[in-house]
Amino acid sequence: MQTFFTSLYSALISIFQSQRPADYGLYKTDLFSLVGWSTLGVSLLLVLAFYYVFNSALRTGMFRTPHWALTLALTAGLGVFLANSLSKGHGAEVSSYLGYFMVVNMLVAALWFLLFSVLLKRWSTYARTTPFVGPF
Amino acid sequence: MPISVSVPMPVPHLFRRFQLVGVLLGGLSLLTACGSEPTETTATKPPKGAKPVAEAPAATEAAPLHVSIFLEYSGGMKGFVPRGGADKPATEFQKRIGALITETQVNGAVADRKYYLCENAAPRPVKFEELRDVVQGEVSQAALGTELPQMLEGILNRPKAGEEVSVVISDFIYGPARKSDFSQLPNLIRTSIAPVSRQQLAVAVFGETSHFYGSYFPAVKTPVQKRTLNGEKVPYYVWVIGPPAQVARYAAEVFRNAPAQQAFFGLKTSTPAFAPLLTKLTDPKLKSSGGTVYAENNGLTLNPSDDPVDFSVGLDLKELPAAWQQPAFLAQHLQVRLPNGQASLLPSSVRPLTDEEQSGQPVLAPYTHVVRLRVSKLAAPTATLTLSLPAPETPDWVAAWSTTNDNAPAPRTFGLDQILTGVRQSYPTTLPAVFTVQLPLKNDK
Repeated sequence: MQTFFTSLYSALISIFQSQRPADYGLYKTDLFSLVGWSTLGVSLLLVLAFYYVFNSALRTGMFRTPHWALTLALTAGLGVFLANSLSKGHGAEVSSYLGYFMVVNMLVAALWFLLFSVLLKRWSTYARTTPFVGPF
Repeated sequence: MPISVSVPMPVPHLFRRFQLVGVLLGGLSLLTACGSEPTETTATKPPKGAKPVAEAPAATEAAPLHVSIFLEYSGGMKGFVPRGGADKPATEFQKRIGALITETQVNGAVADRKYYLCENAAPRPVKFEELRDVVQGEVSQAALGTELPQMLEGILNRPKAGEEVSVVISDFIYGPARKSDFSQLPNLIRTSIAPVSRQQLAVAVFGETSHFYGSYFPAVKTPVQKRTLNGEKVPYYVWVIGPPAQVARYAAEVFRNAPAQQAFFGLKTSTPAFAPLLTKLTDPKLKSSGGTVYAENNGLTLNPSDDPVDFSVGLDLKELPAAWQQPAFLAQHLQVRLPNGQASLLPSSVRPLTDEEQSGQPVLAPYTHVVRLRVSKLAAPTATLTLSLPAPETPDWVAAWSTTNDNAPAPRTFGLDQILTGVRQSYPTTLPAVFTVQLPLKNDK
């Protein structure tokens, strides 16, 4: 999984910046997998919260696409926050690479959110068609 | 947005929901468990990318030194130690050697010290106070003296002489009883210091001229056998002989105010602390530049294909003699080698670190010097960069301080070049490097 996260992130970041920073070793050994797992977990939690807490266990009426989009935005924001705070907390230096890592993690967080939504929405009581109907 | 807390929902329905979520979560955690296996194995690898790489084994506190100081006290040496007074300034010899024996007596790097006077017989152990009295001229009579090879032999043939630091202070004027011995001077010296050759000890030679008041006995006895000097300057020498790392330590930590004329043979330091400096640097000049370079698994991963990669490395050179710690000397002598690639030392990039830098940037604290390297080509997937300090050959001052006729006193010594040739021949044709450090490199594809 570490290899997966490393290739995912370094490939996506290299779209913006091909040069690797002096502390890339830290990203490779620690940050990519740490941030990758946390982002995956946070996305999943928010998907579960949206479909099964607010739209199954509770009947909040927040099943519309704007609600879903807001939660997606929250996930993306948390992705940026996680990349930033975890990296700095582990000693990464402020650099353009870290900046692009934050941008990429925002996209990755949104992507996970979308993926989990599609996978899990059909078992939701009130939001099984949010944001769209299907594919199963 | 209506927020209702009480949910009218049939219990089995709710239960089914949670069951489903549980199954999903279980499946995910299973996935996680499978996937995280390689993560764990990599995590258990001790070298993390962020840590300083290629670090030398933690600098263990060097064992304290055992030092024996031998002062040749013959008639020919007496002129260096005139009885002083408030109106007579001390000679250079008295200042320098007085400071050296005092430093040896009090310095914490020295565990135990012994003092000897070399007169005409075997070295005679004396107390520190007695030696100091001799240096300040408080003792009147001096012995006849021994010949140089016999004196060196007597000093180095003591048991344990090869395990401790021997300091020999003498004028090193060779005056053999048999004139034919002159022809064998290098060989005689080499034989007399045979333990140096057998145990590969190091010899450090320090030379200085000093005012001389008294009888001067030249090696060349014509036209006069002896002269009475009144303040002319003649040379004397301090030889430090012992295991290479200990000689280096004595020269760096005890003989700190050594004279400028220095020659070292067989000197080796323990592997200095060494690491590339990549992260946590505040000085922009120390940061890497050019192509990609980062630390990984005890080495560096870099990609010099587009741009040459420049990076700084830290070195702890406190064990080197003071003269060798000079940036100019290091810039001239340090050697960088990279098989299957191309690496160089950037010109005028060697510099000592200031105290502020060492205390202000923790990553620099273990090092005394920084050096900037450039890797411009790396053909193989992996390679090893070697940074070494080859031992310099006999320095030029030795020839300038040598003479074939010392009958008229001058700041030259009879046959000094031959004496030191004898020392040089105790070592292999190619002197071993003073130190060598290595850095594994990997090509970043």
